[in-house]
Amino acid sequence: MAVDIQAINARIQKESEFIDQITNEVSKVIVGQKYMIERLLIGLLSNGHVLLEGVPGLAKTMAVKTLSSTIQTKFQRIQFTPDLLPADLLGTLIYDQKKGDFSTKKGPIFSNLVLADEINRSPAKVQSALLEAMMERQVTIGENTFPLDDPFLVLATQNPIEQEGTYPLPEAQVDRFMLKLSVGYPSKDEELEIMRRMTRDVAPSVSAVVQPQDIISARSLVKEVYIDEKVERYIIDIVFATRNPSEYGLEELQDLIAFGASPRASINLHQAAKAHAFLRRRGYVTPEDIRSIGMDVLRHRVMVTYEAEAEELASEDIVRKVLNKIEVP
Amino acid sequence: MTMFIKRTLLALSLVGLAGNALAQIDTTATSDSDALAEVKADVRLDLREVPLNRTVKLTIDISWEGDLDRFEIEKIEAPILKNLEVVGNSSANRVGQQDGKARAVKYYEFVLQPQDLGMAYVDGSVIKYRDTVAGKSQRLVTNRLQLKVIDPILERDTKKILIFGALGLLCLGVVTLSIVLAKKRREKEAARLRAQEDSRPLEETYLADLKTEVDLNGADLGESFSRLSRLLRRYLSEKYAFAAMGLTTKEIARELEGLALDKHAIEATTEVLDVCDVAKFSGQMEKSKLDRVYTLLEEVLANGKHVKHNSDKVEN
Repeated sequence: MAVDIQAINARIQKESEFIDQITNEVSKVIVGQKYMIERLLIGLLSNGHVLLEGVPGLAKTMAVKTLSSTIQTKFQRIQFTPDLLPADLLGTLIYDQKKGDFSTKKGPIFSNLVLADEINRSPAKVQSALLEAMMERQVTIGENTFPLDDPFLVLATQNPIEQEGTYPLPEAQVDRFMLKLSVGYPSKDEELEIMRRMTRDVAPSVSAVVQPQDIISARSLVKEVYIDEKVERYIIDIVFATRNPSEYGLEELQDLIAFGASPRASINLHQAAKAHAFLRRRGYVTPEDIRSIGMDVLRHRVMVTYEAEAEELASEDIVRKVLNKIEVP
Repeated sequence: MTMFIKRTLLALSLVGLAGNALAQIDTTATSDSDALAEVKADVRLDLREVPLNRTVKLTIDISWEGDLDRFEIEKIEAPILKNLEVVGNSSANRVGQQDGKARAVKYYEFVLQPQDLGMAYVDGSVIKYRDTVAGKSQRLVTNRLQLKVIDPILERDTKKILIFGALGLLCLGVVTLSIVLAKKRREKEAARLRAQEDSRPLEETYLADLKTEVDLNGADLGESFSRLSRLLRRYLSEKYAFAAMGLTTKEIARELEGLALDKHAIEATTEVLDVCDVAKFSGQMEKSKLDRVYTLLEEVLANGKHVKHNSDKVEN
């Protein structure tokens, strides 16, 4: 056995302490939403961008802002609007009259954490500019190419109920988000606490408890989390079942899936599962991690057909069936 | 003499009225009775040609006006036959109305069997009768008839067909009955075996499987842990009717908690699965741990006997 799991476990125990600090700080402001906070941390630890979808008022933006406040890092919030231009996001060249030359004015994307609020309110050219930066992790302004800071994480939000005047993200673009979260309503007790907390005179404050270096260091440890071949094959089976469901005894899904998950899904599921295991202070990945994170990795990568829509089946229903069908190793 | 000719002509005209186109008929009337009491004879064969293996019917009708007892047929000699043989005969009487007058008819029928190919003949018959009014006896002589005996036709032996058919049906019935009985016997046997199987606790089957499938001293510890984990999942699926094969250890634990099982049983089951998970997915395998989970699984199965099959209720 080449991998010393106990050593990894010990390192994880030591280096994951900041996770508790972050969650403690975030919980000062955000009530509940543990699922969303955990997924944001998974994105942070596995260097994957996150798309949050939910109706207004579920503290999506606040959660991202609070999370960024706990890390001593640069944070930018960009409100996407229909008249936003790529230059507003990336930056532009400005003519300096004194020098008689063009100087570069970097846009808000040059930050560690970028909140792209209501990303579907801007047209495709702005979305493309952002998504290209997300993939390349560098921005070209004029003749100069500038690498983006590390860590660089885009957390985008979108509202699923207002479709008028929006520009839905194309499937190819959505695929670049590692996770797509479906944020739900809080419970009764949580909402009671939210109500009380938000009506107090003094707003809760959050301290920056983590250095960017902690994140980068944790990321390298996440990569070392052991994943057995059985679990890797389990990931492959899940992803392939979305492409050829009939080969996995899911004949009823064959006509309901237009496109299955891309290889990027396998990669992201692999990375996210490791980060999930890290959050559980475990030095190895289990099928539990895959099943836990699988829906968030796959829901935006499985395209359903008109037949599925006619049967009122969403991609979540398809992914759920796949996850329940594939035998756990 | 004039009377004789008149009667003969009348009889011959009646032959035409009989209208049997196939028969050659000659009738001769000889009577000394008065003109109102004529006796007529009609002789005919029903075929012109007869196959060798068939019969032909010779019919003699004797009729007169008046009641049946007006004349008494004293004797009809059997027809003299050539190349034919009488195989049956019959006779009948009838009294009917013709032109508003009573008319009595006596029928004589002979069934004739051809003897050989070629021509066959029925010679004239002599019919003796007595006029009961005048008290005189008279006679009629019929003409000779002929027919051709031709090649025999293929017999359809319906009797044989019926016999063979009946035998075939009987055989079919016997075979069907045997099959049905055999099937019922097999079903009964299968039901008996099923009942026997059902009465055997599920746990015994899995305990036997555990002994055969999991090798405690095998070289590949990882494989032993995997087999043990799979066996337990299979058992849970069958025992409690949930898809344990597709669930993770935590999900299985949640399912078991929902079944209101004994806490110790849930803990033991979860421990087995957890230890197996660690071994399978982290590669950290120890023989002592395999021994421990093996024993634990044996306990789980042994205690599981007291829990109702496929149910969420505990017997005791």
